[in-house]
Amino acid sequence: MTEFASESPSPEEASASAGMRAILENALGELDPVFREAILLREVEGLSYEEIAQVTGVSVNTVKTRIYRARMKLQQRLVGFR
Amino acid sequence: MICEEFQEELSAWVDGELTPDERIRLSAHLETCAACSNALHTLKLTSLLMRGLETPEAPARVTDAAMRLVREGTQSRTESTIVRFRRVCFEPLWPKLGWEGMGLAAALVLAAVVYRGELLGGGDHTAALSPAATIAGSDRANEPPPVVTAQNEVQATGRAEVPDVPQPVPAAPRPAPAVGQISSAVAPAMHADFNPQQQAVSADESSTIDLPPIIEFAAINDQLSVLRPTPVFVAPDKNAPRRYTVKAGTRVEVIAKSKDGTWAWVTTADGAPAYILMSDLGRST
Repeated sequence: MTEFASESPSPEEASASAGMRAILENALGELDPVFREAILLREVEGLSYEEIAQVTGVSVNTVKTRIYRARMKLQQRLVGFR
Repeated sequence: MICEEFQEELSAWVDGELTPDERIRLSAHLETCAACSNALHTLKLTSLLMRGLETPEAPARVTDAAMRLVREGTQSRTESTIVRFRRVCFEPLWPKLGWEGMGLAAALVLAAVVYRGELLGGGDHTAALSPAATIAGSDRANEPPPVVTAQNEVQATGRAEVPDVPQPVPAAPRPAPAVGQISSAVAPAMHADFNPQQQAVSADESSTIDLPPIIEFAAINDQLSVLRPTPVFVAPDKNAPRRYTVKAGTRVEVIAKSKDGTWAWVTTADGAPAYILMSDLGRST
């Protein structure tokens, strides 16, 4: 049967987690503001593309593009983390 | 590489923002394009990782835009939107990403690395896949996932629990690991006890699912060398149960297994992507 990690992280996990968090924060901080805005409104605030388009004053297609590019940028940064 | 014409659609798929026609078109493409399948699942992982974040600062102009909506009364959801924006603006800085989220982050890193490896591997997408590549997404070209119905879904889950066939690793779907061209430095060993099965399930009737306050699913733990399941919390609100409705005929993908059962990725009736327990499919409340 599968074993599951305990609720508390091991020291190794904690170390890896802290590093990952820093990478993520930096990656988000380095995103173009319009990309960051779009991805956060989507992922953190849970707005739909239509809602994001309305509050940011751009088209839905633009929102789609920004979210895609934001994700790709984040992925590129996280790839470098080991 | 990801097919250019589908790049943004892959991301929109993750968000449940495709039209039915777009979804059908992309679905058909994914059946034959391992690179795009990989990319889709990496994007899903990215999305999950982001959802582990709590509100950072929102740009002032976003708040301004929301206020403009209030003045103009143009949006039915203005009030809730404004509330959200207030929260975005006034809550402290960056995200609190829990340990669980970090497990997911590690999965993302792995997936992304594999994806990069796949890119570096050139045009032969199927040959470039390793067990890790199936985490990132996978290779539908080799073997389209089986489709089962809600009635035999429990049976399917049970089968997933008995890994009698070599299967890919957690966190994102798909079939048979191919021989990897990725170097051993980035090709992780699979955890011996953790072999989630990739498959597709088609619910026969609408199901309403009450999820527990906290959703756990197994993910790859810790970077690239060690794979083992780690509980990962993906619910944005850990204090409130959430209810999803899955429409009849909804296609879901098994992505991970935990002590609670087999988890699947599904787009719910309201268009929101969610993780559900396979055993909850077909359970109406």
